[in-house]
Amino acid sequence: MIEARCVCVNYGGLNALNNVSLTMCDGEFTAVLGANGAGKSTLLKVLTGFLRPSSGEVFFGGKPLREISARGLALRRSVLEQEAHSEFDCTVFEMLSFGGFARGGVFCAAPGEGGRICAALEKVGLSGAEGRKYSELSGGQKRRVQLARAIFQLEDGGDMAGKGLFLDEPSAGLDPSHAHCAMRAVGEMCARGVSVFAVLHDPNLALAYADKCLLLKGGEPFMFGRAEEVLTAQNLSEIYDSECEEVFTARGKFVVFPGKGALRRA
Amino acid sequence: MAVRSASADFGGGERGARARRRGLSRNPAFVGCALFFALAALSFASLSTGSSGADFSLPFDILFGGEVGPSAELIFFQIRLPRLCVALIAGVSLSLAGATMQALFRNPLADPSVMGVSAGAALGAVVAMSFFGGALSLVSLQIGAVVFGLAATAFVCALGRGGTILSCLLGGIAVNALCGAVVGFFLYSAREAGLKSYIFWMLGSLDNADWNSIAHASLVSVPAWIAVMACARGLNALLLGWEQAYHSGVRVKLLWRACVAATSLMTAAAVSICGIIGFVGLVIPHIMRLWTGPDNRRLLPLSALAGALLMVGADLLSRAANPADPVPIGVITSLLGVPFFIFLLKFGKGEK
Repeated sequence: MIEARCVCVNYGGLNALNNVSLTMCDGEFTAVLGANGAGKSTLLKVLTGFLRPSSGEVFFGGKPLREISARGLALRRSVLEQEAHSEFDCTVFEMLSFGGFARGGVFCAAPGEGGRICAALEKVGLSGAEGRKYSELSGGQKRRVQLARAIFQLEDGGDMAGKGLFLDEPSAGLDPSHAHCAMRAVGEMCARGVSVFAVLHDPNLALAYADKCLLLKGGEPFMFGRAEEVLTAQNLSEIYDSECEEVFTARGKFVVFPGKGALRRA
Repeated sequence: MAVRSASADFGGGERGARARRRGLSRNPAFVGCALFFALAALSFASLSTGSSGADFSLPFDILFGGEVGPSAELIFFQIRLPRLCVALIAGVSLSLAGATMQALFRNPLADPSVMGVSAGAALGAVVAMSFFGGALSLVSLQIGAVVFGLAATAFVCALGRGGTILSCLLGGIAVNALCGAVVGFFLYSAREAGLKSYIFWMLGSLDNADWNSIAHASLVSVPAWIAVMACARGLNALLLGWEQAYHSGVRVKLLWRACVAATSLMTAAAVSICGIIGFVGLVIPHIMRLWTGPDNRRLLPLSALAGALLMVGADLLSRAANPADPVPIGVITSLLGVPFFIFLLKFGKGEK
């Protein structure tokens, strides 16, 4: 279980996050939505331990985050950052294996890592890509390689319950089919007991995959609760400051943003 | 459906599998063995030749207790063997320092001279030489080199604090130029011996090899070599970016400090015995990375071997050209390595 209590972050007098509290149970998918600059990525940085909050505290399995070592933390949570780049030309296999730092010894990786790397790549629809050069992949493929790396970091062949997967816009740059493929891979992790925390820009992905949803507006928590209750047209138009409509199909509820005064050819 | 169409991009994995079965020439174990045997052969040649002529049976005679005259023995143990040791220590130190710094800065342009270490160490040695002559000169020179080398690094790190990696690199280049200029000033002021020692410090030379300085230098550099090799996996994680490295469990600040200290120490130790030798630290790691990939667990040891190989080879060539007064070794390392590097850069990528 991962818990944030009254987290505040100040960037030089600017309140980036104000009094955010949330609880993530094992196997729960929590999505966070908000306009650009609402503090989503800042919250993710605080939850992963990269940024120390100005006040408030994050607990990982009941233990304060700052009391857990970097290596201990790496064994229990992994992070997909918004952008990842490498100046040196790695293969996909190397890219993933570099993420397995915490499990290995001084010079050698943990045994059985090769198989886990291939399995993680298969989960994101990239089986057989391990020998490819990372720099030669398309943007969407790179994104999925990074997701595979985050998944691989958590796979130690044992129990996955109590671990956390933190994703900053996992579907960015992916076409709809691959976005769903990536989200399904994330959903599989949830089913195995991993708590997932994802910054999402597409409320429909949150409606389809998330259990809980946190809406942020200007660094303040706007609403936190079950995804289908939180993601209403009224709430969404409020946080994005843009007109929102609900659409119902045989597959359930979807939301669209028609846009005020959008130009449209008749 | 999505999964199937995605894996079809890679020809059902066949292409990936083919890429994994790399040719023998890229197999790290093979490359390591080849470099090792080449190094052994060149070392043998280096021990066999000198200003008194070439005699390829000499190393065998000494190794297996054959008949050796006292003058040949003196030449072997007091001139050729220390010279080889200096070449090996400097080659390993410079290339390891370069490889480590490139991983640390995540920038292929980083090398010991960029952090200002080399020129700082040379300045320290020259300053110590001018102020403490006589019996203390050797020890004070080496201590001066190490202290100034570390100070230069600390200054560059302080300059770059809070800034980007680029500001650190630019600060290093500035410190490097400044220290080089001050060395030039010091040696120009000492007219008589000035030119000779300016060439020694700024272009590098193996002529001053002796057992005491080798012992002191290896005391500093061997632990530093072991330290950076032990950091190889952490440096690998750093290739993903500092933030991602932290997420993967690396204590980034600790790794950074340990590696900067170790590279500064080994560079300063190398400079203190043979002056500034450019190019090795920048290009050897580059060549090895193009050859066998960026994994530091392979890159660091292979760069160390290749750096030693280049130094021993360059020394052989410099002595072959003029046995009595060898060309400064830094000239040869650049002449040898740059064309090979350009070739790899231009044509090496096609076969990947």
